[in-house]
Amino acid sequence: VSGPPLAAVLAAALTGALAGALAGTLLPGAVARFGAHRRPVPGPVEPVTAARAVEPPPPVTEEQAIGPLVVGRPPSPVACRLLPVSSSATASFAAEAGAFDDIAVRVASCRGRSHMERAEALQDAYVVLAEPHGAWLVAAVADGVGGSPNGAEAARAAVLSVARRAPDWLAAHDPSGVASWRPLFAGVAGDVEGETRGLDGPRPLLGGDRPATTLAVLVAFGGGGDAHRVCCAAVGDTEVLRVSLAAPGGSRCWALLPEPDAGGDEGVSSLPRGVDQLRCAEIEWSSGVLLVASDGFAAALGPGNALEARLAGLWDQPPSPLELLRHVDFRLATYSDDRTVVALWRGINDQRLS
Amino acid sequence: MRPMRTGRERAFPFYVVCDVSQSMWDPAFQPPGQLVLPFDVLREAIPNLLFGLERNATVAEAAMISVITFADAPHVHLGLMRPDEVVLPTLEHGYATDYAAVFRDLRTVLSHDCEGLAKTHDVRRPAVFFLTDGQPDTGHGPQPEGVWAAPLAQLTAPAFPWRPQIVAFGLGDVEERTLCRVATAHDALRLAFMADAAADSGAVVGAIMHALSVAIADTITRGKLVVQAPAGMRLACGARATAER
Repeated sequence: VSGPPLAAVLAAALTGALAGALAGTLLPGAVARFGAHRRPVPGPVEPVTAARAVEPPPPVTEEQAIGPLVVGRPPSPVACRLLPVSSSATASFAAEAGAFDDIAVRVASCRGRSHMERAEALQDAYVVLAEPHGAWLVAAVADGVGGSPNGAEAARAAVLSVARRAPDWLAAHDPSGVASWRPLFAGVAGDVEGETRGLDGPRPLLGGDRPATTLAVLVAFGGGGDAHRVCCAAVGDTEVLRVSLAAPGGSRCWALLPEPDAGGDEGVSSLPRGVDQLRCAEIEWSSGVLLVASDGFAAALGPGNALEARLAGLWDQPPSPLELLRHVDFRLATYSDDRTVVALWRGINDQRLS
Repeated sequence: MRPMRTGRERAFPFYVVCDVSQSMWDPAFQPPGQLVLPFDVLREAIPNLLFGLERNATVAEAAMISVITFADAPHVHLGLMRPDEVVLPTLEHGYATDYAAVFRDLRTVLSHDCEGLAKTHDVRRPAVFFLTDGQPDTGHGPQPEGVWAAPLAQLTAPAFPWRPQIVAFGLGDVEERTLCRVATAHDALRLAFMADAAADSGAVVGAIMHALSVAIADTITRGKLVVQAPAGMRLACGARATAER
């Protein structure tokens, strides 16, 4: 029996499904990543303000369309074990895409190889909230802390808490400093504590911890003209980065938040206990790609290394959701953690989903 | 000492530091009813530990292992390398239990190893698993704490960029106070484990080596030191761990 390779058929089917489901703008108030919690909120949607139109991408070859991006010595193969219960709520891969104002939004989330090997769930979670009238976009990424059981639950509780709290918080606060971010993070910490209470279970004597999560939150304000005001804050090593694609010799990443995380030798800061380790920053965003990225991806970006260099060519325009998934699911020996990236391009009339 | 982001391959250095003094191998030093000599267990368990790490692909590509023995003098039994590159020589034993010399040598070895590794890798904080069955002794008499505390302090000084986290495992005659002095603090706990008084030393050594294989794999997966108490051992240096559980 002859026919197209199964991988190509699957890729085409997935592309079509994603494009059909996600084309256009982000759902206002949509909580991404958790199928069971997806709840579209009806309301008017502002038309996209196109600062520059981007041509639809050239067709990719089958070779480009499948398989992860390899950026160095590839890791050794590992056995991928199925979770005891697999469902859309515990998916190993997730992708999202759409537009907000003149911002193209892409999200990709992948279960790490080490977790696949151990039949452990993806411990990252994300949420993207688009204010229905275009006032603001909130993106948050949480990474269940390694060593703690139920880290996935803590991460999920954190982003759902951000989704629940952010509208009222933004109505009452201008996120311009630690003092204004603190109510949001303190509230999230309380929610994480409450949602994960009783989930301790068996844990290592040393190095384990109660369910905990890092959290980074970015707010991009709409209607910015040539630049958008962007405010961000984080606890732990989930980072907010700006990627310059015009740097000589490739791209270049800068962490927007002050480094390093103050967690020190004993691990990264995390919620619910680490509210005092909150760091924040504010920029006028006029160029480059903004990322909110869990450590599994951010840690692989280094000055002049292969991944950072490759981004220049790959991200000059917003990639399709499946392409971004390939990039985020990169292969490099010793990098085996979960990865989640929310990426924002400014001044884009997003046509890559059409 | 949180590493700056480099995007390089990561390396987790682990040093298994084993006491091979006379009490580990001389039957005359073993209590009545001791089934197997601790040294014999160690001799078999170290290759098994390395073999187990080699078989775990995720661990084998990120772990760097060294085995150092100490008695009359420290000896680098296995230089720092990946588990799948190891050719292990025969383990040799000695007589004394010279803590000062091994702490002094460890600082030199860690400096050399980690500085070399850092040229090409993102090197994580080294971990030393320190296994001993006796009080510090030079062979001519006890080694006072004043003699070995200084090189230990230099090894663990905040100014030393490769200062390790030391997990101490004690059996036989070693005193809890000594172990607690050697072990470093982690999550506000001293990383010291004492064998239960009634435990068979050979069995405890086997349990320690098993715990090390789990700890190394978990540490690489989680990105931070994770240790479980070996069977037949208890956490020394206070009761906070019990309260935290």
